[in-house]
Amino acid sequence: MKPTPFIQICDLEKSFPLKRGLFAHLYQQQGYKNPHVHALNGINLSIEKGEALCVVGETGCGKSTLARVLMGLIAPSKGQIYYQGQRIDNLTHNERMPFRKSMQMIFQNPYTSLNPRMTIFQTLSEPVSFHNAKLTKEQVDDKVAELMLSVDLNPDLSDAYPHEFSGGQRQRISIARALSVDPDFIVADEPLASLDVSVQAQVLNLMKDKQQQHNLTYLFITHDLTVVKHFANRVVVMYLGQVCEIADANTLFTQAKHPYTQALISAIPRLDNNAITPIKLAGEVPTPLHKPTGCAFQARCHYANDRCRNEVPIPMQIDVSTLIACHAVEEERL
Amino acid sequence: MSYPVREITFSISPRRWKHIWAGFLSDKLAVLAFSIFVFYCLIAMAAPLIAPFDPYDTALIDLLNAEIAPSWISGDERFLLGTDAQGRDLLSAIVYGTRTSLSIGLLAVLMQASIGICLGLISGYFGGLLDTLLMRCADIQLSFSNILIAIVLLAAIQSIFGLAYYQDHAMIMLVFILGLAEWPIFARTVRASVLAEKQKEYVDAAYLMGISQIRIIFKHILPNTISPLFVIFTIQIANVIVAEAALSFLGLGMPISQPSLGSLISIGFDYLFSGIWWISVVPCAVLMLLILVINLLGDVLKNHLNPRHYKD
Amino acid sequence: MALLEVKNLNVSFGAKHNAVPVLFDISFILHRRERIAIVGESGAGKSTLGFALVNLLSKPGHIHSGTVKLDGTNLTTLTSPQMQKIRGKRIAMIFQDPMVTLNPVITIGKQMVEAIRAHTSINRHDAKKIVLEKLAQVQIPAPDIRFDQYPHELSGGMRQRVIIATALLLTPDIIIADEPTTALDVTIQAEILELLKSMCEENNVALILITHDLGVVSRVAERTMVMYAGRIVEEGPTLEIINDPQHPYTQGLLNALPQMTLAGHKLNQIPGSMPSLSDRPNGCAFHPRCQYAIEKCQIKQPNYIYSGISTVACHVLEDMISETSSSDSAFLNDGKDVL
Repeated sequence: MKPTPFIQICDLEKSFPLKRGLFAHLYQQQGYKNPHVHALNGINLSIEKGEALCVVGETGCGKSTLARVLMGLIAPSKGQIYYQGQRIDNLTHNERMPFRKSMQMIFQNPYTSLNPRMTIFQTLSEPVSFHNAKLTKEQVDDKVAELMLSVDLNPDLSDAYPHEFSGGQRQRISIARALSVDPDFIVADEPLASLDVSVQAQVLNLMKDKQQQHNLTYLFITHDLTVVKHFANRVVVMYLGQVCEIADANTLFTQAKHPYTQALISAIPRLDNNAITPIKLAGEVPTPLHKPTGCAFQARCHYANDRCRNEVPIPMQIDVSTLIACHAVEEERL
Repeated sequence: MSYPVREITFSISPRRWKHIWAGFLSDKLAVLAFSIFVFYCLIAMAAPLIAPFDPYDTALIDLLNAEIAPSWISGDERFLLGTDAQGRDLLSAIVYGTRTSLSIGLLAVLMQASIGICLGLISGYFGGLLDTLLMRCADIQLSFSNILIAIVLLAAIQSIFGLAYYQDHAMIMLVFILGLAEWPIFARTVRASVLAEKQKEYVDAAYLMGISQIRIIFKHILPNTISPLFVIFTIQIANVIVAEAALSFLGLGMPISQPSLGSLISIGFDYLFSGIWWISVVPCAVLMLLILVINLLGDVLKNHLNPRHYKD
Repeated sequence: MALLEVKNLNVSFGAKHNAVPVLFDISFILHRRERIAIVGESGAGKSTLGFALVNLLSKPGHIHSGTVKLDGTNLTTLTSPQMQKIRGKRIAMIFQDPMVTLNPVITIGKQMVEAIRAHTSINRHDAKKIVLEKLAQVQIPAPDIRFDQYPHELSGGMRQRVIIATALLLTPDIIIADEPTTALDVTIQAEILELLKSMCEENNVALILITHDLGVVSRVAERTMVMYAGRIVEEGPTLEIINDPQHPYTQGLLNALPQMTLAGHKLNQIPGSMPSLSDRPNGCAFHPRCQYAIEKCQIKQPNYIYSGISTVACHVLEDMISETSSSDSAFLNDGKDVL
């Protein structure tokens, strides 16, 4: 039997009601239909200890929702999440407390993820003293200084407010905050999206270092495939709330199978000018509200046939590490 | 292992309050308004020391001194601003009246603010049915005229507990009723800010750290919603003082034995057309200046706290 | 003759006595049908430059000195009604967020017709024909249906297509595109870039592309200018800049890209971050982050040197060149003469 995965996500679904408020609630009780937006549609995923799993996809594919559901910021509509074999998705805020120390998150926007009215010391010391009530004031001070040093920030700056730092420095403070409770799993939701290229490299290197030092497991969410190639062990490609392809990072970039993954990879802006022409996808990205029948990607896919238009493809194990949900691959039409 | 990340030295940009203070000092009108307001506060606080007579002490009142004009008209050195119909020194009455008016204003607004901020925070943070209920309550309350509610309540209290009891506790009653009257103004502003702040990721980060929601609300969100409240706080003090004056004028506010500025105007109003104008006009001028100054301060605060003017 | 000639353009923010300079000594030439890119990180002043070219700087900003000549007419001295005639008609702008340009309560067709009629005397009927033609040209399916739709009914990529069609309505000479694809997904981004490039070619339009993404640049632009802290630090043919960058900042920027590193290796990072415009270091603005910095870099702003292919502003490079070819100084030219 396979050992329990570090984190396992089973049949995870999340839908948001389109209309909210008292009247929508009453109408629904009367039997009126309130349309839902399906952000996640049956996600199955397992994360192994020590790996960096990247989730890639375009706007609206549900990758951020996945992160928030996983961290318990929003409740799933259906499905289960297991952390080292223990179910965590149905726990209350207090029941989840033991897992808070081991699961942390780094956010996309370094300008809103730090409280503007708290100094860096306050931001970092709060979780430290909260989770280690026994520490004396000096020990907390030491720990905060240590944290700031570990992300290459001068501890003398600890009494400054976030607005006095640059974007990259703020993102390093966010990383320090996540590390302050010594987690073993970190969800990073587009941590580089609002940073400049030269600063992205700093943050990415730092995250990589921390992974080695603390034996961290990452779920790294991004839309930037060049980062994925550099950072990930395995990659999950998502499209409209569904998993298209799961593969090793190397395999994905050399022999992507799913037509959507192929299009994504071909569209990366490259420096070697004319090497690859991007695959043109037909049509527009459908919104989760107007989801096509059958395969979510069929309307834009060049290989779609009648089966794709009617039947939802089931993820299929191609080899040891590759999982693909595509009729065309299954029928070897590709 | 570590690699050198050379920190670029950055000048620490001026802190928010320093910035506001500098902007304030450069605004002459603001400084003037502030000085006058401080002067009012000092007078209110030191009333027993400043006032030449104790207006509450009936033993000092002599009907023989009634209706003496201000000293520059009558030449009577004892009463700088003249006396009222009972022979009470008007200057002392105004000094004490300012004290009463300002205290009622401050206390009532403190009460409005604490109710409004708490309900606004809860309503905005938890949302859902609670939010809907609280905000509909606020709407309903705001749709009534505050003076009307106050009149009805005060009249009811007077008739239930009797006039004597009411007059003994008039100040507490007024603070209580005016304090309850306008909490929705605070609650709505706070709620709107909370809704905006709640979206920001630092709230999620605090939540993920396991920090209790009460602590998140008061320690993390509240400080970020406070600056627009300063403006409302200031303006509301003026509004409450005016409301109190109006109630007193209608005979529902402070009793004649412990007059506020409003009651003084009310007392003097009867004599206004018999040539004894000062009983009404002098407290009126004092009240108008106070309200004007507070409103100016509110405007100044609004300008300097506005994020458009202040960028970090 | 050059279509657009920018010479020694200096832009400052703030009033005269405490003005903060934000753009230093910008000079470049844009030829007809040429596509150039301005690359830089946030805070480099690239968007400010875009606005300065069309005299659209927001209030505290103003052009301090220098000229922007369009076919010989100096744009910096024009009155605002004169400038208004040039914007839209001869120079069109495309922004990152299409909703900045599109009015959400008017149908896109009406907006485009109005755009034509504001600058010409074409009647409504003919204007509509032109609009439909342009919409079809930017590959919008069923243009006659889209014509009567509101901006919110279109997807992000579609809106950006509409914006491009609007920019092309009056067949301008220059399109200034400020981060036109930053808000879009990669697959859409590739399509829009392709479209922008082919539209410029078909309509004989010159393009100034402002972006932070070197990958985007390599796809579209023939020439590239790299900006750092308000100054152009390197200028040359795009391929040359990407394959053989001269300036240490350009090198650092390129090396920091994940695709330039072998998988699993550490990325090459530039230490620190871009200084804010208010506390720009003395001398070469890049020197605190530069691994090659010498003493001279802290004191004096480097001049532009022309290496035969590209123009670079760097003391270290200047020293290197003058050492190797001190006998043959014909290569060395002052950048201003070259431009």
